[in-house]
Order: sequence, then C-alpha cells, then structure tokens
Amino acid sequence: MADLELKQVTKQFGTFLAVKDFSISVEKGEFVSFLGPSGCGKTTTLRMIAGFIEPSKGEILIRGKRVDGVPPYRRDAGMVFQNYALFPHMTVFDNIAFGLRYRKVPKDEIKKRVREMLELVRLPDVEGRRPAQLSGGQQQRIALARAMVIKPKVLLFDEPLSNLDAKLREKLRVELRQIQQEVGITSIFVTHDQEEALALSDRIVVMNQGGVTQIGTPFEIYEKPSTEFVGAFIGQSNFLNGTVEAADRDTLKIKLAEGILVGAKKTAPVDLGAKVKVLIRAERIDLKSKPQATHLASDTNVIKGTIENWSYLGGNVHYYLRLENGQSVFVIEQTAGKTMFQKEDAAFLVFGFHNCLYFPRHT
Amino acid sequence: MEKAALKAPAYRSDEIPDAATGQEPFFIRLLQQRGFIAGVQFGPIVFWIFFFLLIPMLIILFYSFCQRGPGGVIEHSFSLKNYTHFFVAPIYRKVLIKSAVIALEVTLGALLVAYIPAYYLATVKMKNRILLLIMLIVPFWTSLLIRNYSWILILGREGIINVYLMQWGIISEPLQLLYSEFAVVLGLVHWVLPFMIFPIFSTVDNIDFDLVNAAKNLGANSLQAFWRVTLPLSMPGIAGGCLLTFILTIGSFVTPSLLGGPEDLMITMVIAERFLTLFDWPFGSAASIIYLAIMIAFVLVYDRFVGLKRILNM
Repeated sequence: MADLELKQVTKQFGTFLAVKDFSISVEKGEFVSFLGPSGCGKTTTLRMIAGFIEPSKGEILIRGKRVDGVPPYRRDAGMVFQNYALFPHMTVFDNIAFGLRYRKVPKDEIKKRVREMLELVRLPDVEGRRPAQLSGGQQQRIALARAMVIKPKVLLFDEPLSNLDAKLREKLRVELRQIQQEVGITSIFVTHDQEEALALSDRIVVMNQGGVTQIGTPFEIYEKPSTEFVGAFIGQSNFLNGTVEAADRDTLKIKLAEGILVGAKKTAPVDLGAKVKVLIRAERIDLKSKPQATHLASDTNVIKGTIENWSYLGGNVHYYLRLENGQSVFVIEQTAGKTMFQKEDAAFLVFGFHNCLYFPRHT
Repeated sequence: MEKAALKAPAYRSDEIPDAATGQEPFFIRLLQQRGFIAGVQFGPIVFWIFFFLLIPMLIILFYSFCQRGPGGVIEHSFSLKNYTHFFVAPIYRKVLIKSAVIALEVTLGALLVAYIPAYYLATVKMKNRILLLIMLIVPFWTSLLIRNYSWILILGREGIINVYLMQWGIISEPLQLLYSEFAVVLGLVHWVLPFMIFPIFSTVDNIDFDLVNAAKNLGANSLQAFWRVTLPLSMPGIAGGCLLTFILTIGSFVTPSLLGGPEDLMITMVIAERFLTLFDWPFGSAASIIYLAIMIAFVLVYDRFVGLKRILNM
C-alpha cells in the first residue's frame, strides 16, 4: 500500500486555481520532490497534505486512510518549515519533546527519544539551549529532529534549505539524504532549486501553474523532459526554432533558419513539415577547432559557429556562440585539459543526435 | 541616535558647490555645523523637559516641605510634617490601597476584554484590518467627559439598563449601578482599552503563524497550540499593555470623580481636593511626591520581574 496518495487534489482560492488535479502515489521510504517556480502550487499542495489548507476537491490518503478533513494534529505528518519554526520560548529539548508530550509518552522515554534524535542529527550537546543561540543550520537540524521524533508516517519539507548559505546547504543536503535513508521515512520535499531536487529525490514532480507537468526519476526528468517547460526549467538549455525536414524510422532531420540541418533521435511521432523547438543542453555540446567528423554522419551533428563571448568560471567556461544563420548558442565546457577559445574564433559544435530533443511549437 | 545625528548633513560640499560663486550655499554650510544639527534635534526636547517637567517638579518638591498658612498662604518654613502626616493618617493609606485595587481590577478587566479583539486584529486579513483599526480608534476621539456621561445615561437609576430590566420584570427596584466601584472600573476599562489592545496586537501580529502550524503539526489542537505557543509569545505585549493600563488608571481622575461613589476615592482625587478645595498646596505637593515615588518604585519592581527591555523590544 502506498504511504501517501493524492487523488485529483484541487485547490481553488476564489477565482485562482492554485492546484489542479494533482495525483500521485508515494511508496514507503520514497523521497519525492515537488519542483517548480514560485507560485506553481507546490507549497499549497504540501500544506494540504499537512492539513493547514483543505483541498477544494480530491482525496488525500496517508497509509490508505483518508485524511482530508482531518485536523492537522491527527494526521501524523511531520513538517519541517522553511524558517525552521522552532518555538523561541522553549529550549531545544522542549522543542523536540513538544510532540511527544501530546502522545502521552512517559517521561523517561521522552528523554531517551529526544537524546536519540539529537544523536541522529549530530547535535548531541545542545538540548539546554534556546533556538536563538543556534546557527541556521543547527536550527534546521533541530527542526528535523522535532519532526522525526514523533515517528510520523510521512515527513514534509517546505524548502527547508533555502534560508542557508550555499556551502552549508549542500552539506545539509547530503546529511538530510543520509538521515532519511537511515530512518527509511517517506518524504515529500518542496523546492524551487533543481539541483536540490535532482540530488535528493527518488522521484521528482515538476509543477507549473498549479498543474503537474511531469513525474519521473531525476534521470528521466533531465534526459527525457516531457514538455518544453520541464526542459527549460531544469538544466541550462538552448532552444532553436525549426521545422521537420525529413524523417526515417529512428532519426529526424530538422531544418533551422537559413537551411541549417540538425539531426535528432526520433522520440515521438511527428509529421513532416511540423514546427518544432529543438532543445540542446549546453554541457552536451563539444567544441572543436576543426571538424573531425562529417555533419549528420554516424548520428553526430557538426555545426560551425563563431565565439562571440565567454566567461571563465574556474571549473568550466561558458561560451556564447553565433551560428552561421545568426542564432545564438550557449555552451558549457570543462576547462580541464583543453585550450580555451578566444573571441572571434571559429568553433565546431559537436553533439550526438540523442542530445537533440524536440518539442512541438505553435508560434 | 547621537551618531546618526552628527552624520546628518545630507549633502557634502563637493557635491553641491554654488555654481556662481564657487561657495557653498548658506544652508549647506549651516547644516555642516555639528552644533546646529544637534541643537535642532535635541533643543526642543531639552527645552520641554527642563521647563515643563524638571522645573515644575522641583517647585512641587520645594512646596512639599513648606506649610499651609492661614487662607492658603504658603509658609516657607522647612518641615517634614506633610510627609509624616500622610503616613500617620490612615485615610491616605486606605486611598492608596483603594487606588491600587481599582487599577488592578481595571487592568485585569481590560486584559480579558482586549485580548480577543487584539488577537483577531492581528490575524484578520490586511484589507479588513485597517477598517477595524479605524473603528477602534475613532471612538477615542470623543472627549473623555462625553464617554463618561454616556455611561451615566446607561447605568443611572433612569438609565437604559434599569429601565429595560424593570420593563421586562426582571427587577422591581432599580439597581444601584452608577456611583459604585463597578461603574468606575467599567468606565476605566472602556477608557484604557486601546492602550491594552495595541501592544497585544503588535506582539501577536509579529508571531510567525507557522509556529502555531508547527504546534498543530506536532499534535497540539487549536486550544493547546494557543496555550503553549501563542499565549506565551504574546506575553511581552500583555506585560506592556498591563503596565500602561495600571499606570494610567491609578492616576485617573475624571472617571472616578464622575462615576464613583463616596467610597471610591482615588489618590488623585485626594490630591486635587487638597490643591483646589482646601488650598493646602504644601500637603498636596507632598502627596504628589509620595505618589510619584511609589509609581517609580512600582515600575522598577515591574522591570525587575517582567523586564521592560523585553517589552520595549517587542
């Protein structure tokens, strides 16, 4: 049985449709991220699971039991808030023990379980302190301990890392994943940070404008985005307009402006002459100073461009090129073992057919 | 604050030189005078405190050691008689205690009445909030006298409460509502309500509502979440409102005079009587000084146990 199930959950605020027809089934121990731009409805959905907001339509089930309409304090869904939401007037111990006291756990056991949690989040010596005496990262770990000590059926995270600085965020991300796997608790993680979602999740739900756009593993989301939105939102991509020129069983030839052809692996049925948008990931393009292969032979594209600009970022370089048809392309290259191109240099963009995705285009 | 004041010249001379003469305009040179800025900022305050607080207080202190001569003349002969009389005569102690009791009753009453509207104001939607705040403030533009007289119309023997209760046959004799401690407390609660509502409103407004959500998420129902989270976190506002209310009511004069009976004497009424009816300025002054000293002591004790810093930081 799924630990958490959402069936066509819809939320309407007045005339504004915040979430529409959200359905998902989350297995025990699974880590699922809701990813999307701000205002996409991800937090609203999370708060509906927690019970702070009631859905307008649809069903929410936790371990097969319907919980929509059940008040939050009887849902057994632990939540970790973006701003930690630790009780400022209580010690760390009392914060973590808060939920246990409403579960009529005996005093000795409360002590034991709070200590265990503090060990688990690697902060064994702070139980007497006030939240204000802890750093942001420590506060968030206490918040995690407070949510987990009640042994909730699902753990809900509302952008828990977004108030931390970049280095700490990555460190805590790794720890969070470790702790989650150690405990094996079913988790829902709301974020607008694609890297966070990719690194943490078993599955990602990409949301846009209240709707679910794609549900899949991080690999599927990145390699096989189902819509142009998903492709654009996750990763750094180039979009080029074109029309389908030729198609055989496995490959397509797409004509860009000024007659430049690119080859793509056929992933979905498409008509000849259909207008499409071609997506090429910036880091999947190799830049060569000489065309070492023939264009369109052995499933490889080789297209000539000129370096217009570049920015050096240490580990990698961002190149901004112009193709012969005037379209701009953005390429990310590793710096290791490569000579850098300079402005005005000619360069050949080399990328396989399988790195060339396409989406229908209406304009 | 002083540092900010000294940095205050908004324009530097190199930014706005006078084009024609190459000289800085007069007002900029003026603004660059440290003394001028400090003078403009602190001058009026210092003037006010000196002439309208310090000097009158010193005069009162001086009078308190004098004696009342025949016909209300102030005899400049130093003596502590006024002070000893205040503490020896039981009536003043009684009045002081009565004042404190009434002030305490008003504080508790106002707290009970004010908390719910304050909480509601803090949690209601922004759009409605402004309207509600206006509705709260506007009645207090009415004169205190008029508000007190309206209580006379409501509570009096022929007031609407007695008239209707008799008409409905609930009572046969009019109740003695007016000219009682009850009427005084009621009138004072009405008067101090905004002073209680606003501090509580501003603290509750600053409570992160996710804390309440977190409490519910951990298993507390709405009442428990309120009791363990919202109420403790609104304590600074409650403490601030109570202090304001207590100080204001213990020193109130108009309401107890108009709504109170002969038993409901408050310290301010005794002092006023000394000054205005008996022309005994020296004793009135001594009573004022004692009252002031007690209030200062009270605030210090309050600070010791509640912490004014915490209230002011809210």
